[in-house]
Amino acid sequence: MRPEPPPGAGDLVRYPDTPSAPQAVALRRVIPATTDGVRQALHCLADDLRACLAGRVCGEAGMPCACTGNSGGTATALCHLHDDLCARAELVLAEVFNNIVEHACAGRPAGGATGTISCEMQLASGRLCIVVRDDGQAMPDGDLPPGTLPILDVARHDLPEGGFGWHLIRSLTNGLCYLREPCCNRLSFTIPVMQSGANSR
Amino acid sequence: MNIAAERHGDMLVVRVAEPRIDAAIAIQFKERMRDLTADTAPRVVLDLGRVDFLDSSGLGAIVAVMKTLGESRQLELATLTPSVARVMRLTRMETIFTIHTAVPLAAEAEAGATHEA
Repeated sequence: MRPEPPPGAGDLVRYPDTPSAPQAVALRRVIPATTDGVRQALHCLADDLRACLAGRVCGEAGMPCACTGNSGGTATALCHLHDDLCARAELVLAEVFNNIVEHACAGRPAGGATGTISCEMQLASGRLCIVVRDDGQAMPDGDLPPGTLPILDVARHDLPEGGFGWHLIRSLTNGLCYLREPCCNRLSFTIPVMQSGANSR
Repeated sequence: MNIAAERHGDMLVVRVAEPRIDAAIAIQFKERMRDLTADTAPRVVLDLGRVDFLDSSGLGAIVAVMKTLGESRQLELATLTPSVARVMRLTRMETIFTIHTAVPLAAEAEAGATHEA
């Protein structure tokens, strides 16, 4: 991982629009790999995403909303699609970040340097593209867990209290891919802007 | 932690006013629930109407609460927000818990439990 500024609540870096993909704005935050850092970062990332969807980050007057195509010079009202996408993205990121804190970056001495997570989001073509990197240990066996749900047909005292995370991640994403880079883990995936059945509740 | 309990007949209604049950508060949530459910009410109804976010850590904490109640006491959930309902549905845990659309305070207003599909 290239040198980063000291992680705070998350530093927002806005990438410039590219001529070929004017809506493909990338947002990036650097996050300390702690449960409190993750919680704070999720708030910021959800706000970043809502702002991007509302057209504020994407540009000035005339930049269309990625979901509805509505343009506006001022912040447009959030549509229910935005809320649902933000909720799904927040859940996926919470699960991904928690795994990093609890596993990849676990075992570091208390009071010492925490691990670092970087999260990059890019909204384009009806999907949210996300790349998460962390400087923790590699995945065991070099690959992702399958995300099989634990069996629930058991006695109450045997009900599982964990093992749901990867199933949630896989249920809500497409193109999940893990790579071990020279000194960091890289997890990439996309989240569809609209998911069938997403608004059924 | 903003959680309060009220006894209504054989039911203990626990209202969670925390907006998130997540990795950051899962342990405190379990501890607080253990204290609140020391009351021996046979039914414990967890009102989650103010909870906008539940991750797998929060779900695990709720399962832990159910397990600490023991075999003879029921843990029921009420007033799930869409995000919380989604987690329950995706993990199939909605088959484990009785889920109410509202806290079943008036027995005549709700004939038994309402199961969410």
